[in-house]
Amino acid sequence: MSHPSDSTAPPFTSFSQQREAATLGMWGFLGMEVLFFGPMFLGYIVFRINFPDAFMTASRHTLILAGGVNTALLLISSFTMALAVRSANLLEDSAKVVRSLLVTLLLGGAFVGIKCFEYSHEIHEGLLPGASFHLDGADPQQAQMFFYLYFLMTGMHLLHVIIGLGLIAVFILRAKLTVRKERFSIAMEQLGLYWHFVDLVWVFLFPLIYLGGRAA
Amino acid sequence: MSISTPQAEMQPPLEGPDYLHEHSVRSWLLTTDHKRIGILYLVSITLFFLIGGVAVTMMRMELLTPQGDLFASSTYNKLFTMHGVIMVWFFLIPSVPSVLGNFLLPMMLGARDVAFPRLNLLSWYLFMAGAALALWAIIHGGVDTGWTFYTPYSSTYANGHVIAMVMGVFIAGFGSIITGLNFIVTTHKLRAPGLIWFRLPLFVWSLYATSIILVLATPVLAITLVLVALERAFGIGIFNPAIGGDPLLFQHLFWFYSHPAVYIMILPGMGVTSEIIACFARKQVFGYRIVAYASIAIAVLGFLVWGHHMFVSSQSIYAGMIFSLLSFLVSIPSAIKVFNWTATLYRGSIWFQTPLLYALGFLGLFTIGGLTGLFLAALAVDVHLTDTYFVVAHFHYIMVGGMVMAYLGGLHFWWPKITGKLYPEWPAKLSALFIFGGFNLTFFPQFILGYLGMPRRYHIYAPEFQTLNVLSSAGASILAVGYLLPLVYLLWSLRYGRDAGPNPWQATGLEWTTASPPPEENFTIAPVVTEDPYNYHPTEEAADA
Amino acid sequence: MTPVRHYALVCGALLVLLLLTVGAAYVNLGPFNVAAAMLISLMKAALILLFFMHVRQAGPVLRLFVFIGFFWLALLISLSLSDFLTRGVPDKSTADQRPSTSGETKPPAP
Repeated sequence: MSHPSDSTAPPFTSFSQQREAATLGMWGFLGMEVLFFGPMFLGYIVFRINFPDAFMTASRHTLILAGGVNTALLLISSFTMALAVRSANLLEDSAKVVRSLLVTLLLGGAFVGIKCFEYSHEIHEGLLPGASFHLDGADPQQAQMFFYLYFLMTGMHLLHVIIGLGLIAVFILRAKLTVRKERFSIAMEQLGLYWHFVDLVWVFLFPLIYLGGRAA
Repeated sequence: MSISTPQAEMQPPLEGPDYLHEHSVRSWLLTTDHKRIGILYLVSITLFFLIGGVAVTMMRMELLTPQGDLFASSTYNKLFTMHGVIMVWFFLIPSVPSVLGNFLLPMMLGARDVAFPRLNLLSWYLFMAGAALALWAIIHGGVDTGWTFYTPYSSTYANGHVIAMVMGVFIAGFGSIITGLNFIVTTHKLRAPGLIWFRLPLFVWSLYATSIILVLATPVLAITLVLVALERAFGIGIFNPAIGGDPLLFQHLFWFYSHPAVYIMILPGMGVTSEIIACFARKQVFGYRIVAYASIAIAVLGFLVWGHHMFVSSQSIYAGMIFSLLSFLVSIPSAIKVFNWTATLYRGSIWFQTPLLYALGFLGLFTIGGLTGLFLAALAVDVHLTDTYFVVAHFHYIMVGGMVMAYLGGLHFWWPKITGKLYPEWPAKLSALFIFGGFNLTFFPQFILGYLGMPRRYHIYAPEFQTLNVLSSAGASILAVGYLLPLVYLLWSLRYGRDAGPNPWQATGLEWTTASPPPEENFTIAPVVTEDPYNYHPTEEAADA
Repeated sequence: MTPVRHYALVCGALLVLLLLTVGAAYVNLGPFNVAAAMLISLMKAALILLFFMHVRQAGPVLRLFVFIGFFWLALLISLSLSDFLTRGVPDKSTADQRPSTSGETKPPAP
């Protein structure tokens, strides 16, 4: 079943060793990512404590429908990614992997599109921090801090999504071309972990950014 | 001499070429061999050490007199920033982990290479790219913020190329993260058969602890520096008090990285010291397990104490008390290590070779550095000592007295393995003594200066401080000679040194079972570990046997 | 290998939780709005971690790796908040001795 060239990468001596090492390394990397996003969340918490009213008012100016749809898109894309990883692990026909990855790519692409629409809307409304920032009903300086954090955190997340989409595109090609299925499945598992992590960050961003002050 | 039992059988004599046989530039720049990458790091950080050294030489010359004779204040500010940034990020942090760690970790584990060899090479390129950017910033006018980049000065008011400088550190940071990840996975997954965790050399334990810090602390610095750069570029950010931001948030984030980073700059040195002391006292390390656990404890506790850098900022008194208390905790595992090394030396059959001289120097200087750290962790005392030369002396005792001594000790200890040549013993001993003496003459007066109230980072000072400053500068020149000597005789030994043989010290680690220099694949026969580490038998026992 | 049906169920649960968190945001619970939102986010995160990211099948070392990243973030946030939340709490013993007007008398420089 296994292709003759499908051998482990040095210095590993077995696929299981290589798989465990790669997964361990990926989780170490994701732990690093948690602490890369962490300071921005800390900043958000500190300024939400300092400026509670402005943050609630500013939060109401975000587009909750766009944010909600985007959350759903990411969650579903995580599902299709899980399917792609599953197919790769079963060493199935690469067409199945490619199909799941393509759907993931489309969903992720839609996320980026909607996010860009939101940005352009907010910039049009004068919510981009800077000299022209204005927002009625709240201390402009404090509301500006909310939108600074908003652009920063969603922007950093968007960067991760775009990197993920680039990787998915590469993996679609790889899935089509490769004969080294075992090695490919190890790599696919790490791609999956990365994509789910991007989803995970958004799961926390969504309520903090979009849901504040909706009940008032 | 005494007997020792290596952890595995000796390898057969090498018949093929060793790892250094290829000489083309391409074979170096595209290598994925951990040993060659270690040497790439060795050459690069030596260069940065010299650059950082030039900066501090100029500073010490300026400080000979109380007036500003050589430089304007702004130039002096740029000099100490350059010294700090280069020495911390481009010399000390990669020193032991990236040079000795890269070279030795896979060999100590009985592995062929690190887990991800290509990423390992990438980490060196990231390091060099970051360094190039930082050097670009220095050449094009420099940065005057100090290595701490405190906001809002760095983000709003400072002149110079702050953005390029912080991005340089940012990029180099990802190099360290990759190195850390690589070490962690390698230690978990590539140990030789029989090499259980409690048979690992203590150097491996300390590298593992260091890697935890590299992976978990560096990203916080990375994003914080991005925020500083954004704030500087666009004038908006969370650190600028003029628009509602909080500059102390920067200090929290910066020290969340930078305090643990101090342990990046000492833990690997502790590992080196454990290896050297065991070998040259011909004894097992006293309380091996406790020393191993202490490394992990230092790495973890090191994350809980950062607020002691902020006692006189507007941090709340309550937080100050918590951080002060937690800071005292770190002294426990550090003290355990010092006591255990001392106990290892006790009744050992001491063999006074150069590496041991360095290790003993480490022991003394680290103890002074650590104990003065306790003064600074005490809230009330720190109010008096903050931002004085006392702090400068304290952290140089740890980072230079401790880490650089250990780095040089390790370099001498493993030089025969790395190059296959023995260094000349007498100049080496002389350099160890020069460094120890020169170091104390340089930095001990600074404790007194700080206690008397001389602030750091000024080049014009009250005339009554001149005598101590002259002493300090005199010490620095001795120190400089001590640092230049190894550069000369180690290079000399490459050509004229005697052949070392696989195990010149009769040491026990797996790295000594293979040829010097080792073959590209480290071991021709996969080693099987049958022994605990440090199986040295002191002379009396050997005679009995 | 996890059956596709399991992944689909998890995905469905995630979408239900999404609707729930949006719904809860429009009900005025006072300070509990944030708590509810965070609780639901934690549940979503747990589903993603356990099923999509296969932590459920992971061995002890891998679980430790997963835990450590989040734990370290908790350290960063909680110890930082020990400063931010206790700032400006007046200290009675010194507050009484301080001059009540800030006009002429300046406190000595630190």
